[in-house]
Amino acid sequence: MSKVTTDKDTMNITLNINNKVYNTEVKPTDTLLFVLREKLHLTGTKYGCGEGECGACSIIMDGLLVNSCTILAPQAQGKEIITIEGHENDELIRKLQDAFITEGAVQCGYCTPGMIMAGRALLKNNPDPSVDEIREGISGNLCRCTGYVKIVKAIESVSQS
Amino acid sequence: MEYYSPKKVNELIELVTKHQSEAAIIAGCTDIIVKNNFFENKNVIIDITSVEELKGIQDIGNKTRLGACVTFANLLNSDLIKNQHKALYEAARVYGSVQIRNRGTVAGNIINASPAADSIPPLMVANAELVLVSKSGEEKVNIRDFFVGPGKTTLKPGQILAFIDIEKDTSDTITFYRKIGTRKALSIAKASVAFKATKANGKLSNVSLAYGSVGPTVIYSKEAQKYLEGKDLNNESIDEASRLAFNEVSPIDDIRSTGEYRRLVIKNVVIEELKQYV
Repeated sequence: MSKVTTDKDTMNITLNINNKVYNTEVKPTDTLLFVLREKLHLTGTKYGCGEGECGACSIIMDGLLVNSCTILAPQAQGKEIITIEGHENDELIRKLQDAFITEGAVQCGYCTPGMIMAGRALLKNNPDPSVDEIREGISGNLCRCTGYVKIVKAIESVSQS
Repeated sequence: MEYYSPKKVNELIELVTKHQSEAAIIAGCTDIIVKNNFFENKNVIIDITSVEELKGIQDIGNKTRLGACVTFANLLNSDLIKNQHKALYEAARVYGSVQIRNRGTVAGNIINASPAADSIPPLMVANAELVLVSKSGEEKVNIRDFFVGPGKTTLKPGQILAFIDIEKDTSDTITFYRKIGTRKALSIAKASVAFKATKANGKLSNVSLAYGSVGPTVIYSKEAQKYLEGKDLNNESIDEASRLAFNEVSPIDDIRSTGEYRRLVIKNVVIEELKQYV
């Protein structure tokens, strides 16, 4: 039976993030976002609302864009996780980062990691999206600064390169 | 707090039977984590997302079977859903966001039992049968009989929702789901309508109509659908049906909208959507 528990009310989990293996002790009710930021110090992923409403905490898990604030850390075991810190080994993330700068799609920057994850998830599955498909792809990510126009343009410019 | 991730249904049932209401049964968690106190009186977390038998969308003849682990993204990726369950497909399209669709399950949407749930009206008009499984076997409940209040269902401790069986659209089916929300994504419905009927020689039969966000639970129509049964679909019958719809919903004022607005929007949605099929 697949049970994991300890006497101390915490459990040891193993996570595969950006092709690196991390071991850490968590409570079963800790969210993946909390573990990324507070335990593993991968602070590129942001806490916006903690409710799955803003997308600032977006990461990619097994190829799917998800909100890390509504995933329990134990649920992330056995999955391939990509965060913004994955830019070192991921050309598509780097291209998006450059495009966001070139197009002026970053103001306060708080939504940016999540937006880049959304762009990366979209372009991996759909390398040549229409503008509507780009807008749909970032529809779960809120931006209070830019009005979205330059973000869409940045993602579009990567798709056309 | 213990965390279990069973791989098989019989393991899952053992755990659920043993721990009953002390267990938090979880899948995508998109509703659960938002409720701050959800884990407070629980000693055990049982994660169903690794149970193989509960994954997948199966064609079972004149019905389709959704496993409990089926997400809204799975619905959008399914040709079967797109072509033969058009109202449910539309609900998946307007549900949450990309991120939430990748995790949120239809079963979770049902068990969470919000009157604003996007999957429930389309499932109601598709006569969905919920297959509830426990140690003592299988119980089948029609979704129309499953909700007893906001967030409350007839699910018993020791039971899990394993499958959802839904009737397919036919070539004579006219069907829609329409959601009115503040934004195109990440919005909870202020009002919603699902409709399914057979249209042959201009006449309607097997009419089914359900309304979301306008009562303590999703409302299954009595008067409007009874009226439309056997009628020709024309401007007069649509107007009368919309008037009956207006009267048979019981919306409240809340943070999202007023009751008055919701009632009027239901009426207008019925008119706007049905006129396309005249």
